[in-house]
Amino acid sequence: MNGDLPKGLKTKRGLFSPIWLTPLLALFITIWLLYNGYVNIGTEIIIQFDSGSELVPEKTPVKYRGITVGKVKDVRIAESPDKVEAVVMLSKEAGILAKEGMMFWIVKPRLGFNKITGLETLISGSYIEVQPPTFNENKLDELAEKNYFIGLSEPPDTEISEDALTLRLQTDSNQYLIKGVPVFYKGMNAGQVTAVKFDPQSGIYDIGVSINKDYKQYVTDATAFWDVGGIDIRFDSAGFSMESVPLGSLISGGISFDNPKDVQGAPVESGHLFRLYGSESRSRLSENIITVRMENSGGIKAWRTPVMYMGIPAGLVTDVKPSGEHNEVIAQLQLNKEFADLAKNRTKFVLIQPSFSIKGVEGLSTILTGVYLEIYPDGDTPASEFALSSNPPVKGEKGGRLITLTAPAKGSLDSMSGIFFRNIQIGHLTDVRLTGGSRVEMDAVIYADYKSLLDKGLYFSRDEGLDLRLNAEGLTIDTQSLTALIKGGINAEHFGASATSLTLYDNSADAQKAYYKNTGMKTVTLAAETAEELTKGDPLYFRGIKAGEIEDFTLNDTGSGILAKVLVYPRYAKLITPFSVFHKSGGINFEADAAGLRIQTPALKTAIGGGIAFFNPEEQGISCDNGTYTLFESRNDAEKSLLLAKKGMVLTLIAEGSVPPDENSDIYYKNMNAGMVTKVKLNKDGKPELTLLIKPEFTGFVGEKTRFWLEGGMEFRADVSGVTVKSKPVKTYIEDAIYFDNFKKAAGTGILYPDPDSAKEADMTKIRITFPYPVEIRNGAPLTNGTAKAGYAVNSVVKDGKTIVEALVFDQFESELTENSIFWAENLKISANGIENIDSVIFGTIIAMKSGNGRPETHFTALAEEPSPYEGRKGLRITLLSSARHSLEAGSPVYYRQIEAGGVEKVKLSEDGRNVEISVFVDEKYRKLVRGNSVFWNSGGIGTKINLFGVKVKTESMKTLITGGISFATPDDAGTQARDKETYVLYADPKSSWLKWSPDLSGEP
Amino acid sequence: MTDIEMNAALCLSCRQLIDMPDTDGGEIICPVCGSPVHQRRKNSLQKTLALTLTALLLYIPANVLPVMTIETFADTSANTILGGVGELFNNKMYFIAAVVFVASFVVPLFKIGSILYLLTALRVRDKLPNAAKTRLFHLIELIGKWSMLDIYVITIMAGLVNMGFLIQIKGGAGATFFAATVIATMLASKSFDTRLIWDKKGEK
Repeated sequence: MNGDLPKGLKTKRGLFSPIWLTPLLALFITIWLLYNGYVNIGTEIIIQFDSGSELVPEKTPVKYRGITVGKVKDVRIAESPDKVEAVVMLSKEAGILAKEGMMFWIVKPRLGFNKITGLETLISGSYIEVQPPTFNENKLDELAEKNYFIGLSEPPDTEISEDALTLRLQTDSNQYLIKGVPVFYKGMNAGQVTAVKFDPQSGIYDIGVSINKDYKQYVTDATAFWDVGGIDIRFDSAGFSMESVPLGSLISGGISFDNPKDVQGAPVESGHLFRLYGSESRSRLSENIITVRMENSGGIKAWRTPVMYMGIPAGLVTDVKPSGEHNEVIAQLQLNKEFADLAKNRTKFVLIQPSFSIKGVEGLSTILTGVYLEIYPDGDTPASEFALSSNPPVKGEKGGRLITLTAPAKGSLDSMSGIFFRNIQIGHLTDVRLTGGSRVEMDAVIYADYKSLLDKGLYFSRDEGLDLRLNAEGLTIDTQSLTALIKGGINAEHFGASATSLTLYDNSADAQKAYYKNTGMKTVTLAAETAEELTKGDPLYFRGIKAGEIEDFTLNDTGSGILAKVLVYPRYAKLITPFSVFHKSGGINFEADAAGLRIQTPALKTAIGGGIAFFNPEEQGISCDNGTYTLFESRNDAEKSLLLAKKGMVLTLIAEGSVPPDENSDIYYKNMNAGMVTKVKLNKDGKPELTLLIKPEFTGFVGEKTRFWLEGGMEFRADVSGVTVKSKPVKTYIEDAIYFDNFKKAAGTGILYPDPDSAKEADMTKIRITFPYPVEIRNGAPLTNGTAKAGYAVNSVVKDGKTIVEALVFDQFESELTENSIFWAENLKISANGIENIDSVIFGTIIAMKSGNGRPETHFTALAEEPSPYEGRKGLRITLLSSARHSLEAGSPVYYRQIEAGGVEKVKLSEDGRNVEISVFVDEKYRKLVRGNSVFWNSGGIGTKINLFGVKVKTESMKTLITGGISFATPDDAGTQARDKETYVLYADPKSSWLKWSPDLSGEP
Repeated sequence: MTDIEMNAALCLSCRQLIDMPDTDGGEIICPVCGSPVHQRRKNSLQKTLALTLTALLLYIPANVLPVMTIETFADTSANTILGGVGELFNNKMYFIAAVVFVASFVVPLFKIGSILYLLTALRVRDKLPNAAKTRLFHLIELIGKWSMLDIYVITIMAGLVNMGFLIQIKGGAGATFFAATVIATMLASKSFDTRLIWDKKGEK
């Protein structure tokens, strides 16, 4: 069977299959891995810990600066059974950490002195941290290798190094300090306590501290160290304060250090010895001990009571003890270093405690905070022993000027009573004593700042309590400051001159009088009829300023009057000239003049009490008589006298038919005060006669044509031009005044017209107009010429069916009054052209006139009716006959091709009553348009035409819509020129063919 | 009667039954198509042995090196296969621990051991009948692929759990070696010619 099969062919083949390369490769990899693992195996070290609770074998890493450098392999009990050993495999590169001095500790959450560390281990689990004793490479190499370590229970202070500064502090009281307590510099952790030793014999603690290198530079030989343990709660003059050190040291205590502000200390070497103070405030105290002797302790306490300088804590009372004789208390105090030089030979120490005095409540804060000592440095040589002063030196007392005042009695003044200038204290009394005589002497100091006031001149007066005075100036209640009210005080016043009196006067007025007496005062004598309203001491005013006062009254030699002696204050003396005018200024001066109404009271007190005043008139009218001045009753009197003294013009007027004004009434010229009425009396005819005084500057305006009239109050007038309120000087509202002005005509002098119109009327032409019918013309009804007012009616009498009207015509219209002038009565007219004669709304019927020519005339007869509007114009006058009026009236227009060519003059019924006669006027220039064959038709109203194309509304013009109108046309074959008074027919409507006519009418027919 | 007894061989390329001459250590090629012809799979024994040894060698780093690294923000933990099993066991997840232990540790070892046994049994007389050995071989082939379970888990975990800083899972070098081990065992079992089992004379 096999023979049937094809025979396989032979070929060569290799001895080994290449598949064996794979196990070789695998072998190589495995061997390499194993070798690698062996070569990289690290160093095994053993670390001894107190507890292995945080250590997990095969898990807990060893970290060096955050990098895992090994792992705990095993944790087992050490030889001493209270310890455990951790077998740690350090990685190969971390082998260098297996050196002597290497520090291992377990990192776990830890509340440090001032920080919380190891928080991350809450999640990741604890680990072992390693730190070499030095970071110096060479030093590290020198360390011997070691593989058994004692683990630290606490992390070492990472900042500690050989670079740190070690210092020694000594104190006799150790409160909390133990090793590891932090040292602060301005709140920064700057180091720590490294050792605390106690010497039982000396009772001194020797504390070693180490300052980190970053803070080394801040430690100098001037540096102060103090204990900052706990919370410092203080309740003192500065208020409530709670000082707390950083939270960490609140529990653990601590040491702080700082440098005095302006002391530059020298750097220190390690091992320098410092004193450790109990607190910061104590550290600031200087070594110099100051003793203050006191009568009793006053509540001061050692180590508690501060010494303040200008409110700043400047020291501390360090000891309080009775003196050797037990009659005093000796307080020892230490000032802060920076204030150590405050203690000088004249320095004062004052105990500040609550005191209730007149000046008020002082030192209230010390109730809460306890008393304190205030230091007031003064002097120049250092001192250390003082006695407590009772009063603090007053500001400015240093360098002040000492004066001695003399007074008849002490009053309520006492040492420390203030001296006030304008209520500002400028000094105080230092001593009050009785001299050998009966006078009291008072020593006072004027503060340095106010010394110059003395040079300027001061007068002193008692300023005690309530000064209640009732005198010419009224009731005066003077109270000075409350202190002075109770304690008494001295008022210093400066009156002007640089005179100082060291006498203490009873009151300011006395002082002032004394001042005036001392400095010299001007005396003026005034002569008056009576001394009524005046009393001694009444003030003298100049422009409202008190310039003096009445000293005394005497009767004159004859007894017909009094003489008042008036003192004028020196400052105002030069105001008194021989021409000064004095008057009483008491009471309320009610004055109204051209400048308006004025109610004048020089001062309220003179309104009640009276007083006198003086002024210097511009023009020297009245001079004094040998030093004696006249005292006028009022300023008006004075001014009147001044006026009279001047060379004015004196006039006499007869006031006929007018109420004569009062004496002293003013005279105005163009609203300017031009004089006054000096006298009003009845003349021999029983008529009031006025004597007028015209001021010299106005006399030039008084002449023949001058008329005087009485004017008063407001003038209210309503006419066509509206309502006029004409205001005169305010004074005339109350008092009548005389006005004058010059007119064109001389109407006789010596008359006082009762009102301005009658004064003016003297100029006007009086005419008489007779109306042939009765008509009511009111007085004042205007007379118009065109649109201008030419005059007005003054009288109107209806008699025998006729009306006789007297009218006055303004002189500018006088020339219009000729024999051909026409007059007629006119009423309100409302037409398409507007409203005419609006005057008649007020005045009723008015009189209209039209001037003509001819001779002048004053008696006229009025037309029976209004003249045609075209009256007097040149043109064609024709008459149209119409069957109806067609609303035509005088003034209705006449159109040719819609151009106004004339108008209707008059519309009337024909005499036979069959037609309406319409008089038509055609202007001269259109005269040639009217021919014999012209046709006229009514074009007024609205022309309505209804045809196939609808309604056609047509009107010639707006005017014709209301007033009606006439149109006319002339055929192409124009006829002859129309003549005046020709008669035409007025058609009601035009024929359409008429409208097409267009004749050439240029040429003369 | 076997092909060896008949001294014949089948060309696997052209299905020509060939009469095998004495080889003298050389290769036989098909006279029809020229493809090499073997009575048994070529070098089956050598290949299987070499791949099994490879698997055995790779098995060492696969178990020593960590297969999976879990990095959290707090720490990093690397686990070997047995370490992971131990952790599961410590966490009282016995079933999963057992599954992982069997699939990842026992099964590859069992495969390697089994193949080595089968190879040894070709030379050494043993009591196990050939039919049982064949069944054992089929079992090896069947369970071989399940050994990759660990690798799948690691791959999926590494892909899913990647939250950057918070937590991150990474495959370790051990996983690579483990995968190589499994592949090597699978290739070894593929290379094994079961007919060799039956070539031993006198056995049924």
